[in-house]
This record gives sequence, C-alpha cells and structure tokens, in this order.
Amino acid sequence: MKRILASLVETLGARGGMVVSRDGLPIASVVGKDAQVDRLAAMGAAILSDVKRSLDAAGMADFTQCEVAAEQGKVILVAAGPVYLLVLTGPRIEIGPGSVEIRSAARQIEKAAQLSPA
Amino acid sequence: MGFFADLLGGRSLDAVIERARRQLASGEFDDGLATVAKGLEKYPDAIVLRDVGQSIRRAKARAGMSTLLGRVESESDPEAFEQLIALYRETGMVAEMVRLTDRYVAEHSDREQPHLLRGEMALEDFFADLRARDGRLAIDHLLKAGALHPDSLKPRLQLAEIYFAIGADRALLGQAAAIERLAGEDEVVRPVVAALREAAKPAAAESVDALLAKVEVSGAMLRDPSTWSSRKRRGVAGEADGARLTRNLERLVRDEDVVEAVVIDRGGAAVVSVGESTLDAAAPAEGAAPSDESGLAGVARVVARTIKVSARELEMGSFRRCVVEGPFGVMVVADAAGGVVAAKGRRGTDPHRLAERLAVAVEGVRGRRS
Repeated sequence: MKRILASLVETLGARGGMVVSRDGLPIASVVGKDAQVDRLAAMGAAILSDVKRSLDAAGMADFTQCEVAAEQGKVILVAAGPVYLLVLTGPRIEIGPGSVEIRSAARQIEKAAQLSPA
Repeated sequence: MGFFADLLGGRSLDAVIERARRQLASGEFDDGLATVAKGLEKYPDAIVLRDVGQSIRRAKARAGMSTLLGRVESESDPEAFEQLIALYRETGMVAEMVRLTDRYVAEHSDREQPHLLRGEMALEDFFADLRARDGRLAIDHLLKAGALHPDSLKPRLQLAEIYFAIGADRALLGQAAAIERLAGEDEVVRPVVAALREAAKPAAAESVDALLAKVEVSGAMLRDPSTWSSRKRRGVAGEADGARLTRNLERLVRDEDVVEAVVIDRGGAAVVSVGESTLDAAAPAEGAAPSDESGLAGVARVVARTIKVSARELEMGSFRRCVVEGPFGVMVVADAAGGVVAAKGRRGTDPHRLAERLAVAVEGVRGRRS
C-alpha cells in the first residue's frame, strides 16, 4: 500500500496520502515534511466517524467520497473497498475525488486490502 | 430589442448588469460599483448583479494591491499595511490578511492598531470555532492594544465580549470599570456597563485559560454576548442577511436537482431549513441513535463544529467547502459568515455545479468580518 501511496503522492505532487480503516485508524501513510500525520489522521477520523454517524442517524447509506476544500489545500477521502484512501493536496492542485489518478490508486488499494490478511 | 431597450431607457436588470460589466472591463471600477449599488436598490434579489459587484470589488482591490504591497515592502508604511489588510478583508483573502497582520504586529509592535486588528481577527475566529487558542490570542493582543493606548475604548469592549462569553467574571468586572472610566457618561455605553455588572458573579479564583478550554471542550459559550454587543449581527442569522439567504436558498431548492438546503449558525443551531427533509427517507441504520434532524443538517453541523477546525489545524487556511457523495446523492457544505450553509442534490448532480450555485446563493452574506 505504501508503494501505491508513494506513487500517487509523487504523480499528483500532493502533500501526503494515507490509507485509513473504516474507523479512521491509519493503516499506511506517505506524508511530506510539511504535513503532520497525526492531524491528517485526525481529520480522516473526524470525517469517517462524525459524518457517518450523522448519515446513519438519518437512515442514509455511507458516503463513497468526501472532499474538504480550504484556502491552502484539500483533503480528499475515497472509499477503497474495506478501507479509505485519504489524500492531502496543496493549494494549486486542481484535482478531486473523481481524478483518474485517485480512482486508480483507490482500486489498487482495494485489491491490496482484500488480499492482505484480516 | 432596440425598441424595448429604448423604452426602458437601459434600466432593465439585464441592461444594468451589462453596463456594470462594461465598466468592469474598461477599468471604471467606481462607476461600476455605483451602477451595481443603484441596480441593487431596484433589484435587491438580483444574484447575478451582486456577483458582478463582487467581481468589480475584487478587480479594484487587485489594482490597488500591488502599489500598497510595494509600500509595505520598501517603507513598512503603517498606512499601507492597514489599507492592504482592509483590501484583503474586503476581497475575502483571509489567509493573506492574517499573514500581513502578523507581519504588521512584528514590524510595529509598539503601535496599538496592529494589535487591535490581530485581536479582532482572533476574536472572530474564536466566536466562529470556539477554540481556546484563538481566544487566548485575542485576549493577548487586545490587552496589549489597551496597554499601548489606555484611553482606547474598543479593545476594552472586545475584551468584555470574550470575558462575558466564557464567564471570566473577575476579568469582566475589570474591563467594565475601565469602560465606565472611559465612556461612563455615554448613553449607549452606560447600559452596557450596567448589563456587564449585573451578569458578573466573580469567583474567588479564576483562570481565564481554564474557562477558554472549558468553552472549547463543551462547544458552547457560557453566555451569549449578542444580548448587549453587536456580535449577533455578524452571523448568518442576522436579520437582513438571513432573509436574503432564505430567499436565495428557496430559489436554489426550486431547482429540480436540489432537494434540501440548511443554514447552521456558529453555535451549531439550524437557523434556516428549506426543501424536503431527508429524515423521513429511511429508518436509522442498525445500531445508530435515532435523530430528529435530517442527514444534511447533521453533516452540516459536523462540518461546522469539527471539520472546519481540523482544516485549520492542518494549516489548510480558511475552510471553503466540503462535498460528500454517496448513494444518497451529493451534499455540499460551504462556509458562510462563521456558520455554514449546505445543500443536498439528487444522485447524479454535478457537485461542482452545486457548489457554485450555493456560493452564488451565499454571496453577499459570507465572509463578513465586521
């Protein structure tokens, strides 16, 4: 998974990438020097736990992707089978959850996650 | 067309928009803004015209920025700092505004104004996110501003706001005394001092930092300063802004792709809700607590309370929007004057288009800092 993340981060010029469990726990990460793993993981966990809880409470299905855009960057979270792919971008990267690179990485991570022992 | 244009004398909404756009293109910014202002008197709900006005303001600001930046770089001119900070504020360039104000503080730490400006910004952030760090920063700068200019009323009133909100009553009484000394005879200030004194119930020992932390953890202020200060008017629930926002959102929901829209204020309360609630769509998932709010309102509240703060902690700058997609459709949650505004579209809705339409609906009520 680290190899997939490293390739994705390099291709996009992103600040970092991470694979997180459905509970928001980090499984693998490739994060640049200017990004903080803990805070990125906390953001992922907040989205995964709090947003999902709100959707569950209203009887709605899980989300498949989430994008948080701010002035200096974006956090993109995409479902990848049993896990989620989290990407942190800088301010100038015009990419989103639908980007070919992210979709492709999510598919590869999904396959890797299904192959790895539970 | 020509006949009708002549008949209307160029006063139709389209003609006004066209004229304002021409003035923008030719760099006649002041004339363009006058055209927009006049047009809005006649067509107060014209979103496109409001949007053109915002474009003109941004273009005008950009034109002035390079000159001011030059004066800041070469002369560290305080007046240029303040004008440029005001321009950044007006055009919604919040990260640049904060960075420049920090630099202003560093280069002119013996002046009251930079501390006052930075204190105000931190105070806005505190009332938006209720983070202890912002509250402490606001207090430090406002105390410094007050110390540098002991006869200045503004930092005292702002300190009173935050002390009142967090329940720091001992410190509040100190500021009330200072306010009374400076403007006790003023008929507007006198009832404020009386209200502060009445509310304050000072404890024997008081830790401002502990009270700030308590507010952050509980996610709620102890008291609402809008009962006596102008704080409320800055929120999305302000009367004029709120009414316009409701109209804009109703218009958005009339569109066939948008099923619901909500506005959540900085305190987490839903102040506007239009369209069909998704609450009745299905029962709560197994194990999930039943809720009396729609999925959109719940997600919007999470964004307002948690995700906006996380974005700032990741040094991503000011939060802009959050887009959530799934089998239920598309939800877009955008920043709006401290609170958030959110819309839900059906499956297949283009999230970027929905975000753009939401941004237009919010235009004019978002990002107001004063």
